[in-house]
Amino acid sequence: MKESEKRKFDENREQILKELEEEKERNFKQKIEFVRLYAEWIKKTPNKEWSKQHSKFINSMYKK
Amino acid sequence: MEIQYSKDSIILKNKSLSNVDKFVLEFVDLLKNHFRYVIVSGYVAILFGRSRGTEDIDILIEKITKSEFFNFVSEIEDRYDFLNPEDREGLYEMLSENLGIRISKKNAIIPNIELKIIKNEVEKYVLDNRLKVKLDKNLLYLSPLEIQLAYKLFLGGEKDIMDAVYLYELFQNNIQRDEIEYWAKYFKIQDKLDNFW
Repeated sequence: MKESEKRKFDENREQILKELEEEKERNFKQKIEFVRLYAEWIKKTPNKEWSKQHSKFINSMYKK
Repeated sequence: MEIQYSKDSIILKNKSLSNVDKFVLEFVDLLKNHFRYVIVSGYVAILFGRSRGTEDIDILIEKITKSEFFNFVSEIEDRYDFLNPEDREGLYEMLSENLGIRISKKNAIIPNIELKIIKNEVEKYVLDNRLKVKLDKNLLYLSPLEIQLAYKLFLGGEKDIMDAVYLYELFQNNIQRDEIEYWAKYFKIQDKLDNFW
């Protein structure tokens, strides 16, 4: 990496870190919102239906 | 989701079982003939539909003698592998020292059971107050949801918080809020719970 590039990064470091922190928090909140939405869907969906999709998803993670 | 919920039991009918569910049910079906047990941690949320994987299923058992453990090993060793390199003496020693031992189906590593002996009065409470879950013909025992939820917040990792949110969203009309508050106070995480509500 060129010295000029490093200087540019250093100059904006604090601002970029702040933005990353904000993005991390935003992502976390969005994930929580999705978990809530998903739980709502599970609650109103018959066991046969949600569990069929769920088992397919879970099984796919353990494929040999 | 159609469930019948009472203080100490849940009935969940017509669930299409995943391979992990089958693995757990098959294992606890053997385990129950030997020891009282309770399933804790991540699998509790996964059983009720949380969409995430897990490498291990954490199970606590009552205090056991060496010969009781050896009997159990003899019954399962033709179908399961003990992933720790120790022999049965060493495995029992690990359990006695509050370490977990890992058990998987023959020639598989994941998923596996992490089996531990209860080590304090909180874990004894979890075992003594385990929640009976009936899945059609199958039966298993889980940690009470209130302490499970507070403990997840105590752990505080992203997936733990998501598990807590999920369990709360699903069971908020059934679980006892004052018990969650008690355990949050016990684990010194009232601030996390305040944010959580």
